Amino acid sequence: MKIWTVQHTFNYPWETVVQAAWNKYPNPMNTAVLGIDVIDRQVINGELHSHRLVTTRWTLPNWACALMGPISTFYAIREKLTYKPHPDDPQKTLLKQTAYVTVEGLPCSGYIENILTSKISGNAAKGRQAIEWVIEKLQHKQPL
Amino acid sequence: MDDNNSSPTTTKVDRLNSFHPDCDELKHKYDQCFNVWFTEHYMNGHYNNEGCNKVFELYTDCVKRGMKEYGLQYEQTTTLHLGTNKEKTSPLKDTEKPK
Repeated sequence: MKIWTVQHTFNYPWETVVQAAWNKYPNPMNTAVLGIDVIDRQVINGELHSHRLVTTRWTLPNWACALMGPISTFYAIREKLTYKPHPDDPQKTLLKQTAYVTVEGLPCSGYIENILTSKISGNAAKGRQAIEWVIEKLQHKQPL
Repeated sequence: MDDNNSSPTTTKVDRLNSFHPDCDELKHKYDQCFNVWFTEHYMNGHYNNEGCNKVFELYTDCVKRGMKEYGLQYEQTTTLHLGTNKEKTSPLKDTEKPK
């Protein structure tokens, strides 16, 4: 298993960032996300829990697909994003993002894990740009 | 209000569709309801979301029906298989009922 993690500071208050997070897709930066459905949602002790079904189109290098396809190997990606008001500045928001990548059943699993991880890293950077893009868009459209 | 009368193939929509085209309309109705609730109620500490319940039910029923078309059972998505032996089984062949 490979763990990837990153922290990022948004120059917007928490309320603005989380509202943008719900409206993150579609955006021009992450075009691989085709659809998001909510299949369950409830508030438990003030925490909003959403169970979502994300439809994506992942592109891997051709050789990796050729390798992974016929052997029908499985890979799992678990992702966690935490948005918190910045401890030093309430006008900013801290994002902590972690991804756990596991590829099983291939002699070069570690190598594929590295490829997936670098892919995640690139997509995450685009995701942060996307949040900023959505905030700009929402602020021009209507006051939040 | 919306530009959803134009052809989806030629228009760039600024919202995300459902994975199943049949559920698009319900999804957009629910999303709109949720966004208003989240901004105006949840963020102010009012957690009751009964106003969106009806459309949410219709929407999730539609999604569950759509999932079946693709051979996916909603119940399977509520079971966490990561880190267990189940992790390597295909969801399509997994007939075991969740706990």
